[in-house]
Amino acid sequence: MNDTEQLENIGFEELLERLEESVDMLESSDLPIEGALQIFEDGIKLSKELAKRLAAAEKKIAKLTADESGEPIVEDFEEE
Amino acid sequence: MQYDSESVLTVSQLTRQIKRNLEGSFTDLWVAGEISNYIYHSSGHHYFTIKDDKSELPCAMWRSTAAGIKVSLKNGMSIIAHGDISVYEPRGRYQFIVRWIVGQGVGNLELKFRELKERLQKEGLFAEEHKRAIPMFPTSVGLVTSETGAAVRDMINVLRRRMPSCRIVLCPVAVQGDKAAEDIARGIRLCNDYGDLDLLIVGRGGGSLEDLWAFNEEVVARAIFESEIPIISAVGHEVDFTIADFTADLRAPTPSAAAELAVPDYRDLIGDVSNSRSRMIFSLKSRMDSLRESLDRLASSYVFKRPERIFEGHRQRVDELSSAMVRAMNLRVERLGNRLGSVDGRLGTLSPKSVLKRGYAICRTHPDGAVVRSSGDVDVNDMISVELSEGTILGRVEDREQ
Repeated sequence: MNDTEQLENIGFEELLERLEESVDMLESSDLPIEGALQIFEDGIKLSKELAKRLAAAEKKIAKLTADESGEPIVEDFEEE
Repeated sequence: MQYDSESVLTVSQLTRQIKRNLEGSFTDLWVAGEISNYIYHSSGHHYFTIKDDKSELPCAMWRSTAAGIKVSLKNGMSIIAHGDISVYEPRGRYQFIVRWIVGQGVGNLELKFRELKERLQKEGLFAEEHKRAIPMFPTSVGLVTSETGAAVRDMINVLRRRMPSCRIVLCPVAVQGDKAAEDIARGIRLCNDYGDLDLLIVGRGGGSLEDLWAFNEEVVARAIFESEIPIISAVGHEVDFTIADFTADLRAPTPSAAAELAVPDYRDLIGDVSNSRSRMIFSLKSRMDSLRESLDRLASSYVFKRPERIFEGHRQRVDELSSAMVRAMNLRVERLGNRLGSVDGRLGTLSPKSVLKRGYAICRTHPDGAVVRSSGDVDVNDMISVELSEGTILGRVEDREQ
């Protein structure tokens, strides 16, 4: 269903919703076994992507100022 | 000048009259002026004068009164004081006993606040329907606050602790002083121009009403209202609300609290994700187990273990049929045998050998062996053989008869 490249472009909230849906579908016993296996596989992919995103730490803080023409520019913020 | 000795007053008497007069007439007054000659006496009482460009009024404020007054007094400060005139007899001086002080600056500010709040409320800037939803999982948060000070550090620490993957962008602005309001508004607009932010926190740490005043200015309220990016206000003034607080999409009592509201704790989320994983695995495993059980049950059926038993019935039938067939054949053979037997028997009686037994003989020419049926077949002196039932006789023809 999803490629890993596509997953990276999908928002956190949506991924989380999809994961919850997958779990619900698996827990309802109506699904035939092939469908269940596919959903399980996709669900595991989703959970890995979510865990990866949560674990990624943003190291730097950015500072937003404006140049002469008032356009926003971003640079690194030095923390003490 | 002449005087009447009876109408001569003592100093005390006159002073007493003056006291009664002044203290009776000059009570419950509000006076505005500027503080000077401020002395904080070791007794805890405050002595100062309030003045305008033409006159001075000596004042005293007792320690007990001062305890309840939030405004701290300084020379040059404009105040509005409430109190009464009293006469200090020993020195023949009148003074204004201060019962209450309102910092004049503050008085005006309070009025301005009330006015602005009413006006903006009427315009609808505080209305619920204009408030934007705060995103649940922001990937980037903008901080519109002072670059120095505890507030920005606190917010960064809380954001980092709760959601390390969230990007933090600081937009430094002045948060107090004359230029602050304009600067804060500019900062909010700049963040909107930059665009790549899911949420803004606008605020500062604690301070006096004057320090926080920028967040009560109209220009800030309008910038917050017009911001396309949702805003959490975080003006460190725990109890009171600023105009910015009313206008914002969400209000936090302090900058740290704002950071807590801005992002969820990633440990909770990791827990949820891990939980979901477990549920999926369990669910699938249960399903697999139940399928396997069904499979095992079927596999252990006799059909697979002793497949030959499927054919048992058939084999039996085949056997039965073969037996029947054999029996039928045998019967037929027997019948044929019987027929043959009976034919055989009849044949037996017709056999020449049994004729011979009855005494007849077969005469043959010798040595040819041709059977003699008539006397003309032989001549006298021919040799003949005679086959009897038992044995053969050889003879010579002596005579023949027709």
